[in-house]
Amino acid sequence: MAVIAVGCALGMVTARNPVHSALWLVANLVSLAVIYLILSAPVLFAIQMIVYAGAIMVLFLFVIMFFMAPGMRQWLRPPLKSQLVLGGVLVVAFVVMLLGAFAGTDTLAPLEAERPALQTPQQQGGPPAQAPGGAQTGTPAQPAGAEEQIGVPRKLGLFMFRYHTLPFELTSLLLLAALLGAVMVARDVHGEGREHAEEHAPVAQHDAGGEVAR
Amino acid sequence: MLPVVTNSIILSAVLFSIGVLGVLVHRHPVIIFMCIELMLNAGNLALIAFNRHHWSAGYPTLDGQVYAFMVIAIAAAEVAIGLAIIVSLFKRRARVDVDEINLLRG
Repeated sequence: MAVIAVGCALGMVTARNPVHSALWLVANLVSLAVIYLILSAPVLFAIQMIVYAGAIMVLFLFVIMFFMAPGMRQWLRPPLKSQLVLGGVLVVAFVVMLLGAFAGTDTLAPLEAERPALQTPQQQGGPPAQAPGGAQTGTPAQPAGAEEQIGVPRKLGLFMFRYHTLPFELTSLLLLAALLGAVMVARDVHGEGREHAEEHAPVAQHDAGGEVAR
Repeated sequence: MLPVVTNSIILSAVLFSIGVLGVLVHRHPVIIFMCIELMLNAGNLALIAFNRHHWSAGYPTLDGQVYAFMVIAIAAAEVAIGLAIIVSLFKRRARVDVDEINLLRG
């Protein structure tokens, strides 16, 4: 899956045509969603599929196809060679830096040792919290079958609304503001190009579809 | 650390860097936007991987997944606004090239 994800990302970056690029990105997002599933986040798997691979990519493809008139091919100039080389060098340095930083922090311990235990209902009946100790690099012993239960929708919902209610509501406000802002920005302020007036409605509708899906 | 967590974080770093490369070398604003999406997804992957790392039966945290959820919502809002800006750019000029867009006013 990781190989597929990296390959799709590279295909996206190297594709010249925006439509090909978008399709590579869809494949990449789907493989990332499967990795979320492996990391026991089924809710985010579903959200990634619906919102990203569905709504957002439809929005992208919509804009691309609307404005990729056949005569517009000429401004798809290839990247400058020097820019490509310099960018490649910088990005390799960036990867090395990130991985180096990650390799330097091999003493990451689970947070449990440092924080008071959360008062969640599903904690009752579980094994007692691990004794606070030094840096342990291994994962604590877990009951068999518990790993599949990490991110089930019920637990994620309980957790979110217990500890993150205000950010959740603010997110809804932000989405409303973005919806209105997108409509306002894409509207013709000066009245030029009246013949394109029918374009606004579909864009706004796709936008709303994305929000509903969420 | 679980091997799947380690691999996911390495993958997240690589994907983020590929996104940076795309932003650096491309000139089409829509492709640049998709590369930004790729970087956001790499960040999400890191959040979920670290959530998996820090989760334990005694400390059943889901903070990382909640944050990833928020990031997805914010990414959707950002895409809506950004694509609206790109649409209005396409309407105003024939060529859309980020090297030539250097004014805040039309």
